Amino acid sequence: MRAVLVLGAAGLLSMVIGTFLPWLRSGEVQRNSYASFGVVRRLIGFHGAAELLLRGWPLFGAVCAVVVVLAAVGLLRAAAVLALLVAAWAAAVGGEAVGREPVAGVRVERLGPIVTIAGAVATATAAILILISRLWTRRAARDPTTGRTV
Amino acid sequence: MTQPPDAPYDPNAEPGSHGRVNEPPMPPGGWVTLPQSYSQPDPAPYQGPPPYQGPPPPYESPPPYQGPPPPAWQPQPSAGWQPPPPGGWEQLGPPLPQPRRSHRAPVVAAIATAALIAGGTVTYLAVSDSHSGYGGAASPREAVTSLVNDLNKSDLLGILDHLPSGERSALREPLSELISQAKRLHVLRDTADPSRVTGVDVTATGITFAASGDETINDHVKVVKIVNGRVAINADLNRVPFTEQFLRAAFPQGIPASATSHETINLAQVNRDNGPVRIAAEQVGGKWYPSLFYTIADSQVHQNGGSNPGPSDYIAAKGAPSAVEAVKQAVVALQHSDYQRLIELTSPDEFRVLHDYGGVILRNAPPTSASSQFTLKDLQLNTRQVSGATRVTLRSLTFDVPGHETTVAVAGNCLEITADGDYRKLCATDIINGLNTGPLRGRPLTAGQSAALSRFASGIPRIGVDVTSTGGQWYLNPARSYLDLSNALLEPLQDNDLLVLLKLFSR
Repeated sequence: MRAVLVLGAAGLLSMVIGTFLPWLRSGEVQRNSYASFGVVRRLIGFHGAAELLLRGWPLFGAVCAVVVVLAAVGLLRAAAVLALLVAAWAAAVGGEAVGREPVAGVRVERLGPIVTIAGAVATATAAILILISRLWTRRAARDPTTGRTV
Repeated sequence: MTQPPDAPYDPNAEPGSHGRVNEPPMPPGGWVTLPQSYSQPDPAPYQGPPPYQGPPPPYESPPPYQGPPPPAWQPQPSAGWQPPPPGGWEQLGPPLPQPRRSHRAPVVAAIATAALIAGGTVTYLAVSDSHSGYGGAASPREAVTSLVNDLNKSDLLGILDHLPSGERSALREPLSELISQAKRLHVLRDTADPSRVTGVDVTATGITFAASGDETINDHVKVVKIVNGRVAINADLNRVPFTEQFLRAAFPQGIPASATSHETINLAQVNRDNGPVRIAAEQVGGKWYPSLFYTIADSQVHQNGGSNPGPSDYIAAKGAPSAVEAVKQAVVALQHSDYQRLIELTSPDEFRVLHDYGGVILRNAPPTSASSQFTLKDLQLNTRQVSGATRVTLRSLTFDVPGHETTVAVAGNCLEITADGDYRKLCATDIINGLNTGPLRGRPLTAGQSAALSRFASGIPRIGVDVTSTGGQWYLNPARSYLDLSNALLEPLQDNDLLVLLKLFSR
């Protein structure tokens, strides 16, 4: 279990670090995910699914911190579920960015999105393992005759 | 009926020693009914009524009261609480393990605190970065300096971010659409190194502002004057990520040598010859932004030897109640050379500069013709939504020139023209047939060329005027309409149509 927790922590950290790595290059200027989405929002705007995904993007780090706090106080199952959602969020944003084609002097830098996606994969793996282990523990604790938890 | 027990209750008594031994004694306060699961008894077949047993026995009084039963438990004599013997109580049984102090709580608290501090810091940095673009400057000079910095880094996003919001929104959608169309029609490569996509590098060094200070145009526009510095411009068409097909179609003989140029402008020399370089900055929301439109207007006025606009030159915006009405009123104003009404109908968000320079424009406008030969009798318009605006397009138009009435109506991809009662339908195929039997008789259009030309012609009815609403009034957006012109024409084209048309027109 300790190894899984370390994997999850490393994944969360990678995701957060990845969001601060370069995501966009315009001329000689590189921007991290927050600055990139900020300037693109002002200049072009986001619509549909992209708007939904990026509306709360600056709060990404705070949500990751909530996952750590939940895990620290022993609410592992809640932490794992939230971590899964955060990983899906990060993977969706990173995947969408990596798939973008360059436009007019502006291109996506792959370092930031790829580190974020790698972190998301690690976080999701750890979260799934925690949920599975919790399920097994719960089943093993059941009285085989009555089906009740002992 | 409950009867009192006739003997004290002995829990150790053998069952059957009393008449009611099978019943537990009634506790003080009465019986407590415990919930029991109700089971439906098996229905038995009806056996008929029981035989008569005679009258019930007469009532017998209960036996006399024998006094309270002796208590089963006798209180033990006690001398009250006694202090523990010296040396403490004796420990009986195996020794108890020493209680361990939990080290988990401080660790959890430390991790949670660290996570919250880290999360808060990350969120603060993220929010700061998301607003880290150019948010205006404290002075016009700072605004221009910031623009020059982004220009030197070729930061296209940064440069666009410097524009006032009204100009930005007027440019961003049409330009973005134009780039998408160029890629769709194989003019620009999809995957090119776009860090120099414009093909132009501009580097400004040693920029020096005039010691006399900035020139005030009005309460929200100032002009920054640059008197010294160097601007190096390197333009190279080869660096624009055009597709090979486009370059072959546009330059059949190869890219000319003039496609590459390197030029350095000495701003001190420009200042000596023509005066300082003037860049206008507009104040929006208390911050200063370099303004493209005000710079163009200021440049035009000063090149023509005019003077800056004064407060009396301002023409207030007066929109129309609907998108269609705005365009109709503009057409009528144009018909009567009523330039003031045209300026009033122009969007104050996009073209505030027109309102500020209104008086200057009217003084330089061509004189109004005394009698117009053209009379608009009827105008029917269509509307459709485009990104961020409403586009008003032509449905039908009836006009009268002395002695002749003509109606032009759009019908799909064709035009229906009725001139003095003479009806004629003009479609793209008619134009193509006319070309094949006329100027192109020797080399008629191929099927591909005809199809491309037909689709291009179908874009003509899509041309219109973009109109936006502000404060419940509708205004014209001239810059946006102009930039959208090419998009309207390119929209119906497919795949290689544009390349086919380029080859057709360059043959």
